[in-house]
Amino acid sequence: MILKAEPRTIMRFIEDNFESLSQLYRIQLKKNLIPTESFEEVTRHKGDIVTRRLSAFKILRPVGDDYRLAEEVGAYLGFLMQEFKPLLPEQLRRYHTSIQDVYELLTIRPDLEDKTRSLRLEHLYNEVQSFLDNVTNNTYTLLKRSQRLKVNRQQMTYSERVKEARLLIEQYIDPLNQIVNLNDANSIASLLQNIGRDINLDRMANYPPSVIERYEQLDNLLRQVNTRLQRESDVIRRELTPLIERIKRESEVLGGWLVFLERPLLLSVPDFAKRNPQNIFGDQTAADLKIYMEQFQQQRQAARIKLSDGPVVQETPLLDRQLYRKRMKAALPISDFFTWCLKAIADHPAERQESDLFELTSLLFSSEEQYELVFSGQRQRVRLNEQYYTLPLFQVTIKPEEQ
Amino acid sequence: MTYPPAHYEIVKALLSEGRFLLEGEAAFLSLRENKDFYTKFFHESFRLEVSITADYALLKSSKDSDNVARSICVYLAILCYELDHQDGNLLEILSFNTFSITEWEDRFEQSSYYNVMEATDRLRNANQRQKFYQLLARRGLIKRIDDDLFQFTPAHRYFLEYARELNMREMMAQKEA
Repeated sequence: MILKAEPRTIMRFIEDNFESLSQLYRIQLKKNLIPTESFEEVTRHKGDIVTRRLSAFKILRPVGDDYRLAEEVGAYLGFLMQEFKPLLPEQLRRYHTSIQDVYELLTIRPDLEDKTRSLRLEHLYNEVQSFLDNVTNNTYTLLKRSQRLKVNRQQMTYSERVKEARLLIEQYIDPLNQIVNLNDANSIASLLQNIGRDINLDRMANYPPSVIERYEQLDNLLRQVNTRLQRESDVIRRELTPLIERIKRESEVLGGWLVFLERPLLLSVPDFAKRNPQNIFGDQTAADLKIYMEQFQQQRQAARIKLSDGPVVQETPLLDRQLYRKRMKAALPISDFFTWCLKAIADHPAERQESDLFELTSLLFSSEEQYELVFSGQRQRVRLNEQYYTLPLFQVTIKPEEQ
Repeated sequence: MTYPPAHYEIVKALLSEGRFLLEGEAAFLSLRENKDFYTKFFHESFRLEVSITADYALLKSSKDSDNVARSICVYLAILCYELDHQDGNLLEILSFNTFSITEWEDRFEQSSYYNVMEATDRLRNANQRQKFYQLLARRGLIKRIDDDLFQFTPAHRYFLEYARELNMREMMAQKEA
């Protein structure tokens, strides 16, 4: 209880000292407590009376050697200045339990006393309202923090900014998005939607006017829930997330360039397009051609080209098959083919006799349909060029022409 | 067979001039509509890869030590570093702002990275940089408004992507280390 002053006096005091109080509030936001040094720094130019009244009016409360603003005063200042510490999603999530609990108290017993029912409806109303306010404050604070991060007045380094952006997304924005997501069955948004549906039906029951009134209030509030949460969700989706993404992207680009500038001439660079001009004629063509031609004009003598004799070409005369075929045909019938062959090649040079013998033999096969061979079954031994051949004895006659 | 519309312009821009084709050009539209054909065409004819994004396209040279590309990277890196000192989102400034060459001459000369510029052949002095701006305009990276003012075309993002990848690689390397 504040014994020493009227509420209005306290309000006036707050108004007169708003500057100092807002400074104290900001310090508390940042450090959670107001350290003595900071407190003295802020109140240095204030009279003794101000510092005394701060505690006399229970605006400030000592915590050990430090100070802390009374919870209500802090909330009020935050509301006035629109500066809050974002609540952790866990802090917001507890509303899920509290709202559900209060709601269950309402439904668990149908024969609730009217006064109790009315009281519980009021609690439920307050809880929902408090949840909505906190969500709005949270979105707003996150947006402001992101914008500050974007402008980067604190000259944070790139990796710090990426880290901060990631922290905001992971710790606050994503979970907040989950809480206000109407499509998620476990989100507070869905819970409120369900309660809204039931309350809408319940209020039709036969209650005294005071209870009905509470029902109407709650019903109205719950009807607004959807729109309000939708708006917060829109801000998150449309502004907050893209903003954070941009900050992340920007910092990544800058970080990359700084890595590049550390070794600008050594790192490989992106694969860039190359010009492939295809001008056959240009300003240079005539000059180039002239230089090219001059190198020939300056030569006094034509280059002498000496050709070597080249390798000796050896001619290997082949057997004149045509001639020997005729001779063979003339000699038919031949009683002993190989003896005839040896006779025919007897005057050939010794080194060619062998191949000529085979060549002559092949005459038989090249047109075998014309000849008839009769083998005697005996063999003869023939010496040719230091080689012995065992050759069959056979007779060659011309085949009688088929009728 | 018939070639897609603006075939000559596409081949001239990408192959002969080695420049970016940009959203808004008739040739770009035709290229994007016949993406499969041109991917195949440039691969079969020249063994080159076409890269087509939503707002720019270029023919990659399959060289990763290109002098021009290196100069552009040095230029953009220092420009971004200097831009970071002023308020606003870097990517938005690059996309929408107008740049003055004379103003940036001063800023470059005061930059702590000016020595890197001096070590890069195409950027080593004001004269060379003038030629460099002509090259950027020819390759479709900037749009010159007059002698002094210019804007970046969407093609500059090609190099920003490179920077992002570099950052990513560096972070991975740090994570592994």
